[in-house]
Amino acid sequence: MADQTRNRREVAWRIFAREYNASRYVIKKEEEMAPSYVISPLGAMANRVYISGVVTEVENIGTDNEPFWRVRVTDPTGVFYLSAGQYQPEASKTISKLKVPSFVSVLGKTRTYTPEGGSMYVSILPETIVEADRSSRDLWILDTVKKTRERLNCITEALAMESPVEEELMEMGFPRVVANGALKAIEMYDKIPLEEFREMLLDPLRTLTEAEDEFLTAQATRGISEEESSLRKELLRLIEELDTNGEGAVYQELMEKVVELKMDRDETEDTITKLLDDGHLFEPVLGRLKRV
Amino acid sequence: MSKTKEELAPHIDEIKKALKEEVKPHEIETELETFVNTYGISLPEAKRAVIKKFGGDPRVLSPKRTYTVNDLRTGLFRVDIQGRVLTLSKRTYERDGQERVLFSGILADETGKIEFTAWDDYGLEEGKAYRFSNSYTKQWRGRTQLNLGNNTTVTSLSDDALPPVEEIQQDALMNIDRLIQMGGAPGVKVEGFIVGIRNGSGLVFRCPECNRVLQKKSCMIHGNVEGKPDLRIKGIVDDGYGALYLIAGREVTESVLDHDLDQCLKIASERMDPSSIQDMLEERLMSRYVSVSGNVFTDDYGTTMLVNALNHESRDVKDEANEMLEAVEG
Repeated sequence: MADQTRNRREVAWRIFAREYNASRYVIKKEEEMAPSYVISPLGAMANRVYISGVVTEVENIGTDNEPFWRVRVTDPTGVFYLSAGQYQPEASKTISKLKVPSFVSVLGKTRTYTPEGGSMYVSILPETIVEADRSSRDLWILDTVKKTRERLNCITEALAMESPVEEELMEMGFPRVVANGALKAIEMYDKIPLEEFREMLLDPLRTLTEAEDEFLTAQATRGISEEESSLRKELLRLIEELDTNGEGAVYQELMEKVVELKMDRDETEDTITKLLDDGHLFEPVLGRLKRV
Repeated sequence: MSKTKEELAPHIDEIKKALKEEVKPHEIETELETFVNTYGISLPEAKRAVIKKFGGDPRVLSPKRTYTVNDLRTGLFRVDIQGRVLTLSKRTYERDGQERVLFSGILADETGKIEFTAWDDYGLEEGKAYRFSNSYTKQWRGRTQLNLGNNTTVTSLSDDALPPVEEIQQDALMNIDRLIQMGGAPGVKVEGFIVGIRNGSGLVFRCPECNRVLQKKSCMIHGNVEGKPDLRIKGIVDDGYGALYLIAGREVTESVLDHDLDQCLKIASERMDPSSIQDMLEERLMSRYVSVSGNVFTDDYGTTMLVNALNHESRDVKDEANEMLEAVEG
């Protein structure tokens, strides 16, 4: 068996942004060059991930000669943070030409960062980025829902066992890697919010079953006060209305409208910040706002 | 419930075998007694724990069990399995100065296919259905293989015990991790995203003498030769459980490109760039969800499928999503 695993290529896990970003543990071996694995709350043991989504921001925080790219890729549950520099020449080349917004598929290595005294953050070091279309993005969502649900079910079963073992879970039909990951997650995480992750799957599925616009508005206004929700809706509507040439609504013009409509300026600015943070809006260029 | 030494003795023997006779019986006995008599652990669980504690693999304890092809793995004993013999060939070999026969072939059930070797003449026939009792698996050329040996009994089954040959010949869908664990298998299918097209894909030139792909117009054995053009794909498919290397020949490559070799040669010469065919392949395959089928083997480079067919999966996403939405909402 040893020589069979020697040249084994690391699998790319299917995982949604929210689950990935909720990862708080990593398995690192002492030896140099030994692979490390991010353990997600549902037991993805990912050295590598494969994701698909919408590019909502591309920023060069390096120099023109030595670019260092930060990229945000949004899926229906949240945002993936990518960074690439000179050691990712292929990905960097593609990033420099990315249009915002556009669909991409990304194969990348998992990276972690733990600030002093803080909890761990994750990001992705892209190996390959390709422009995608809606159909392959949709197939990714479908595949990722299936696999997330499988992990969820496996953890649920394992938690119901007195002393769960991999073989038993496999006999129930769970793939080996899923059973193995589930046991790791149970060992590392005190409490896994299974219900939250189950609910998380609804949004991705709805992007596939509902018309896109309806969905995005519904998503941007779910779980917040009615007042704020109507403000969000109104802002999204205004931004779309002012976005006449597809390059986004000019912030100044939006604010003029806001004053004209006698909306509260401070509150509006806060809401715009929130919509930006949640990935419902982005700035294609400074001073312009656009819907995802 | 306390167990006496006599009651434990056969189990100690079994554990000793599972640990390849590397641990002394009295050490096993002490451990097993502690688990069973001091801590009241059930015997099967205790045996598993003892083997694990001494660094062994408790799976070899597996009781005689009925398996399907896709849950076979290397190192199983007392395997009961039923399947249809798809191919069969006879060979002779010599042992202890005596000529003996062995039969090898492919056995299939609804879940997949596996190569087998029968170290005796069991009167097997191609196309017929059988039950093998007390067979075992081992690794052969990197793959898990089923073996029919001394203790194996073979029973003929009625023809309707298994799907007909035409149906069972279809390549069964397998998870890539399982496939890698098995070291490969004949005639299988996997589904996943194409996550890589490797260099050396597209238009290549082969040595007319040895068929090796030329590097910089030269063969590593035969030097400068007039290369024969060919098309191939070297890719990677990933199903979220494992990653599998793919090698596809001219026919599959032509169908993916929707261009034949002559057209590809023309395109490459017009663009004055042989790698333009690799670019075309990347465009058509990268990030696509595909199903591929073929034969899978393992060598020093990893586990690879020689692809017989590569198809884009056309699926009704909305339908599947609706179904899943119902299941998730519960």
